[in-house]
This record gives sequence, structure tokens and C-alpha cells, in this order.
Amino acid sequence: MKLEDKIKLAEFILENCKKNGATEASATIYNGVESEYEQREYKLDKLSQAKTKGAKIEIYCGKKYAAASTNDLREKTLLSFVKDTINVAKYLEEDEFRGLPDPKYYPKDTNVDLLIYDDNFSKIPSEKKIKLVEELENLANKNDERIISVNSTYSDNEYEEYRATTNGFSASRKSSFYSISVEVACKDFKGGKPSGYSYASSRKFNELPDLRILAEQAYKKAVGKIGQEKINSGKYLTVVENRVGARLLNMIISPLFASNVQQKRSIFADKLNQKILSDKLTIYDDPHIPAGIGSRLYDSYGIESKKMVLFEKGVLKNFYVDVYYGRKLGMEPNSASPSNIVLEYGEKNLNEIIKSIDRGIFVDNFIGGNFNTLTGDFSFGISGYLIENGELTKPINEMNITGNVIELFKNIVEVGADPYLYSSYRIPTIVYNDVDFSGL
Amino acid sequence: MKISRREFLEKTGKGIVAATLLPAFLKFEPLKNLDIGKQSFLSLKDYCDLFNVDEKIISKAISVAIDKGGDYCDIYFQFQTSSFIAMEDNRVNRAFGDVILGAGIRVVIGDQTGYCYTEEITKETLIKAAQTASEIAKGTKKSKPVKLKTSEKPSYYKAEIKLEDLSVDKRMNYLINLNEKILSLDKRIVKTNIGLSAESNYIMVATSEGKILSDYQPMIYINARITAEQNGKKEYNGAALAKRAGFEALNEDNLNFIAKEAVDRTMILFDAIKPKAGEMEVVLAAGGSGILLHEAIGHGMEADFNRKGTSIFSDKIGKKVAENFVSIVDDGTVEGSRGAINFDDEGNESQKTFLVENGILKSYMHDYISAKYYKVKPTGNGRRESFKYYPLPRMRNTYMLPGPHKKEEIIESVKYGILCETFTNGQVLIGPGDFTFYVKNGYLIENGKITAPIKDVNIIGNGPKVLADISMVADDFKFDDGTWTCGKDGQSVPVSLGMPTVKVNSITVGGVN
Repeated sequence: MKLEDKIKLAEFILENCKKNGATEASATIYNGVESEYEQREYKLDKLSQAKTKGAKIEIYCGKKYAAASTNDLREKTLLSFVKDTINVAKYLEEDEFRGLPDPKYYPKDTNVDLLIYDDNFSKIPSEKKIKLVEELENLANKNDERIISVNSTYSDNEYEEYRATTNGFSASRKSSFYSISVEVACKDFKGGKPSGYSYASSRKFNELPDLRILAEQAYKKAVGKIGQEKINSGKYLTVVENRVGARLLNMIISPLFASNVQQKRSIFADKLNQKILSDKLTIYDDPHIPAGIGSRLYDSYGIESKKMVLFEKGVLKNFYVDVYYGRKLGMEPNSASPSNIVLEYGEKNLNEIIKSIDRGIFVDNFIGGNFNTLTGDFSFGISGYLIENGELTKPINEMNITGNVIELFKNIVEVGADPYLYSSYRIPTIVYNDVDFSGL
Repeated sequence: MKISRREFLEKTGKGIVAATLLPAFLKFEPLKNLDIGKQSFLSLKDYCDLFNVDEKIISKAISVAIDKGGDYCDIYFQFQTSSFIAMEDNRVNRAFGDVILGAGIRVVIGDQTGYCYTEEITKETLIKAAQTASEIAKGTKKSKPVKLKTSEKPSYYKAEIKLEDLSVDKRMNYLINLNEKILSLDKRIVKTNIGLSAESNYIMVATSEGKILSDYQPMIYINARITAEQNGKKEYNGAALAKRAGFEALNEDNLNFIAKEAVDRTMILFDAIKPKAGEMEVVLAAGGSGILLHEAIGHGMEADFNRKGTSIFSDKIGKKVAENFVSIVDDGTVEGSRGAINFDDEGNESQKTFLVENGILKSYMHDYISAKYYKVKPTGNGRRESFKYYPLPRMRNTYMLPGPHKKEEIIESVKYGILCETFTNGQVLIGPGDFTFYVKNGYLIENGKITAPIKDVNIIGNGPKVLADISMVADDFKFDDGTWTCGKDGQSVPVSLGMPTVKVNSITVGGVN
């Protein structure tokens, strides 16, 4: 589907929204192409390819609101789709806070290039993708009899959307995304079958990293877990690996949503401009990182994305305020959801940090667990390694960490210099003091 | 991101985050003169009309799909409407609707899978999709045209009032009544969020083995969340209920149940403490505790992991894994339950499958590929999220059968431990067998007596070890109608679970030192 076709469909929808009684509306039309390759035991295990498309509409009838989506884009069905959604909206109760954003929040320039689209997307032949997963499998499948299974994957997608509203928003955006991963499972003499994985992604095909590094990492992660066991419960100095760090960081991001604040589900609700976390912690939301996973010029409501500080040396500076809950709270909208999360980074990478620690635990995996956005209580399963005298001495597993999010983030000892770049949460290695571990 | 074998089951949030749609309205064009909402029974012919195909077209697409040497092919047609309306700040002020239509074609050769789906269903798009799916195979083979034959199917659920048939104002009234009921139960409530979701799923499966089957799968769920305040301290929690049923599920009993559960579960948090950290005796209350089975043994018994040799249970079939009084099933036939299916998404009959019978490990859960690999009959566990995905071995309703003990004697037997009552989510690592589940509400047990409520602790154990450590099973089995959703390889499917009161001698409980 070409961009012109999307524009035409959106116009058709908005026109019919107005004709049928909507006072305001938005229409988003999108389409995409995706493929997925999985390799196992020296042959292609799965090959999946498809094209996708759809439309999303938001309807306001005065102060009444309904939204709907469909993947059936024939004009005739779209027409009844619009009418039906309007009919539903009319039934609902009025809500004075509903309505499209004030156009002053829309971006002036929507042609800034964030380097998130690969012009060569459709030119990459299937054979090249197959070769890639073959090579990745071969590299990870070391000559080691402890290995039970290796599987490698490649996936890509291309996505384009056009959004228009009845109050003047009109923009399109296009992106591409590639990801590769490899997982190695091995035999543990104690009976288990631990595995290790590695993962990478990029916006352009030729920016995918060296497969040898990925293969090596997955292999090392897997065999490193052999002999893992739980150790004594207690308070430990805790190093959390960059690629899993988002699990903990998310506990201080979720309570920032205006919906949680307004609905009295946020531990930070009355803490704006107060120092609540460690002064080692400065966190930004940065939507304009070139080729970033979460990079964008506007949020899902069309609000212009700007860099903003969330915590500055432990002081809470901003919530994520969307249009609707912003009105309810009497706050200016800034962003409905996180784009890229970046920190003020420190000076040491993981190895240097481990070397500096006499005794502690290195966490490289979280298993299950949850947290409470209102009280800050959390509890997660973990596995990792015991650190003794600057070295990883013993793989550990089947343990929990438990505590309160404010205490945890007050107790930050060090923020590393090594952000994980394959996620919109660019978290470095972080060291926390006095974390409660449950084990033996 | 599709990287690892980390499996999880989640219960919270789904109601608001993932729910969509309003079907009261959406009529589907190829449906011609058929109003599916008014129709109590749809014939196979109706489904063919719905998807704008006939047997000739389907048979042709299947032939094209296996012409390059595929062993097997299936086509999954789906038309699904979902609707969600919600109440917040005491107003029913939002509604979301979603419609999906499409067909997915899978070609299997040995254990290799080729897959393609299309969102426009015509003869041309189906044949194109069949050609794409067939790219997994490299040869040529002249296949005979498939003769499709339908068969009788059982009926484990029905919608007495179809989900297309209830007007928006009636749905709104239910939410308003539920909200009033909740507010009447406790003065400390400061916020309520209530949601009602309804899904109508029309599917048709045809295979190269000549099977063609169609089904209507309804799903309804109701969700209530509460924030309460007491002496400047706030707590929030909720309750939900899900059924494969029609709008008849919106009855007074269910309304009262959700209101009471949501309020009780929230208010008790004001007095809740954290247990000590470490290994201790754990009692699982009857009902939602079935999450232990889902994580500790369920995922590990899905045959794809075993076929690949990566599950901790790979070499344990026929072996004794638990006490004689432990029997665990995965059952797609529980009437009206969230995990019920009349047949799976590969067209195989649903069944009650024993994973563990009297302490012996009995059977894996199979999809087409693994059943062929192990040369066994399919168990009806081949499921998928939608036409956009190929099927995988998945659970349905997983539960433990009642045992010989009494709840009271179980509690009395505990020196220091916890009783787990409600849960939000869990996860397992298939290879090592480490699994977790998160306890939202529970109690501390000291010297055989319940002494204080507890909250927000994660429990971590090892599947085979915990199974062997189950020392008592009570006679008080309870099925849980929560809004359980299981995730695997990026696909979500509805499931449920159940459990009698059970004692495990030792598991690691997240707590304070």
C-alpha cells in the first residue's frame, strides 16, 4: 500500500466520521511487511513471511469517546465500521476531559530524519537471511559435548503509518527493524539443562553486529550456568547486567504515567520535585536518538516528542503526561509513553565493576516476579553468579530478591558506562547495595 | 523479540491493556445476508460464506501448498470481533473495538514449518500465501486434490446470549451496578476501574489430511480494580472473571463475587506483612494455585521442548515423579471455562490429557509435529494466538485432581510457612526447570495457625523437585475462572487452572532478612 493510498483512506474515514455525527476524529492507516527465520540442527526450522495492514480510529461525539481498529480496509466495510463506532460512542457517558489535543502541541516539522528506515529493506534476498541464521548456528555450535541444542533466529519488519485528525494533524512515518538471536542449551551434570542467549537489533541490515560476538556470548552464558545452585539468604551488594536492567528500571518508570498518578496507583504521585532516589541517578526520556529503538517525532496522539528529564540526581522532575490524564490532572501533555530511556552514565564497564567488588551477587537473569506501582513492593526470581574478590566464582539460581523500590533506588552505589543499545531502555550495569536475597 | 524459552503466565493488566473492541455493531461484508449475531447455529456452509471461499478453493490452495514436497498443510480462517467498555472515575466513558479477518497457511515438512498469512481472503491471495508458505520445501511433488470432509464435534461451551446481541446500554448498566456494589462494600475505596470485554471468534480449519471443521468461540471477561485509603496509606488490588460464555455470564452472582473478591483482596493488604526470606513450607490454597502446575510442570511437558531435548522432563516419561496421590491433567473439556476448546487450531479433538497419573509421568502435550515425531495420537494441544501465527503445543486448563487429605490438617501440619491465595503471574525456564509465581495475597502460618496476612512475594522453585516435594493434597478441588493468559514464543492464548489445597515441604519464598 502506497502512502497516497493511506492518505486517501484516512481522508475517506475522517470525512465519513464528520458526516455521521462525530465532532472530532483521528484516523491512522498502517501497513507492514515481516519475515522470520529460525534455524536448528543444521536446517531451517521455521520460515514465516507476511504482509499486514490496518486502520485505527478515535471518535469524539462532543465529550463522548470510542476507539476501534480493523484490518479490513475495503471502503464499504470501513464505512459501516465508522458508523458503528460512532453509534457506540453516542451511548457512553460524557467526559469533559475527552477531545483531540490542542494543535499547538503538534510538531511543526515532521520531516526530520531519525535514521530509522533502511532504504534497502525490500532488496535483501531471502537467501542472505537464511545464510545468516546458518552461520550464526554454526558459530555457536562449538565443539563441546555439553551442548544439547542451538537455535538461531533472524527477523525483520518494515512499517509505515499515516495519521490525520480533524483538527489539522497530518503526518506519516516509516521504519525498519532487524533482529537476530541465538540460544544455546547445554547439559548440567546436576541434571538441569541451562541455556544462554544473545540478541541484537538494528534499523539497517548492514548495521547488525558481528555474529561471532553473539555466538560467543550465548555459548559462554550457557556453559557458565553449569553447576548452578542457590546460596544462603542475606543482604548482598548486587550488580545487575545491562541487558536485563530494564526489569528493575521499569519499576520507577511505570509509576510516572499520568494514568497511574491520577488513578491513585503511583508511589510517586505527590513526589514531584522531591529528592526520592539516589543522587547517582539522572534519567532522561530522549526521543531523538539517531536510529534508536524508541525514537520518534510525536507520540501516539500526535504530541511533539521532546527530550525531558525524569529524575535529576534523584529528584523527580517529570511524569509521562498524555492528553487525557493531563487534562484530568491539570498538567501540560508531554508524552503518552516512554521513547528511549537514557541515563547519565558512569565511568566503568561491567568487568571493571566486578573487579572492584569483594563480595556480592551478579544478576544476569530475572525470572517472573512483579511489583506494586502504588506501594513500591517488589519481588523477582533471579539467577546469576556469586562475586568473590573481584571474580565470578560460582553460578547461582533459584533465588528471589525482595524489597521496596524507593529503598532499592536510594541504595545505588554505581551507574556503569555501558548502556545496552538493543533496547529502548538504554540501561548500563548498575550496582545496588543491601539487596535482600532469599535462598537457602 | 523472539529469543528464549522463557515462558510466562500473566493475569494482571490484560483487562485494560490488551482488551479491545465492540462487536455489537460490526457486520462483516462477505457475510451477505447472514446476521451472525442472530444465528444460534452456523453450518459449515455459513462459515465458507463468511470467509468467501468454497471447498474447491480451499482444496486448490492446499494442493499448491504441498506441491513443493510438503508433508502436510493446514489453513486456519479467522474472523474475530472484540469489544471492551470501561468505567473510570464513576463514568462509563470509553469503548474500544477491534475486528480481525484473515487466513494463515502452514506447510510442514518433517519438523520444518513454512508459514504465511493473508488479511484479504480471495482465491488469488490464498494461492499466493500457499506458494509463500511452501518455500520451506525445495522439491516438487504431484499431489492428488484433497477431498475435504467435516465431522461432528463436541460442544464444551455455548453463548446463550450471543456476544453480538447485547446492546451497549445493557453492558453499561452492568458496569454501573458493579461499581455501585463495590462502593457500597467499603468506605475506604477512593478509586475504581471496571472493564467488560467480549470476544466472538469464528474459525474454520482445513487440512491436507482432508479435515474441515468450524467453530464459534465466545469469551467474556469482567475486571474490577480498586484503590483504597486508610490513615494516609493506600493499597490497590482487584479481581476478574473469565468464561467461554455469552452475556448470560453477566448475572448477579458473578457481580457479587467480583465485587466482594476485589474489596476483600484489597482491604486485607493494609494489615499485610512480609514473611522471612528463604526456604519454608508452602501451602497452596484451592483454586488459582494451579499456577504452580502451569509453571512447574505444564510448560516443561509441552512436547516441542521435549522433541528438541531441551526440557527438564525430556527423559522422564513413565517415571515416578510425585507421590501416588498426585494426578495432574491438562483438560480442554471443562465446560464454559476460559481454556476450553472443542478442537484445537489444527483440527484435532480436545481431550483431558493426564500429565501425571498417580505420581507417574504419563504424556506430553502434542501438536501435529510432535505427535508425528513421537508416533502418538494428537492430544489436542496445537493452539495459536490468531491466524497470524503457526500453532505450537500449548496448555488449556491445567489442574490437579483432589487427594486424600483435609485442608485443616494441612494447615495444622505447618510449623513456619505461608499459605498462598491469589496470584498475578509466573514464569519458567524450561531447561533448568526453575519456575516462579507471584503471590499477591496470602497468610503466614506459625505453629499450625494462620497468624497474619502477607502480600507481594515471589516464590521460586525447581519443577521436578517441587513435584516430588508435594506431601499432602486435600479433597477440596476448586477450578479458577480468572483471566489467565499464557505467553510462549510471542503468542498469547487463554488458559485456566485449578487446584485442591496442597502442601509443598520446601520452596524458596521472597521475603526480608
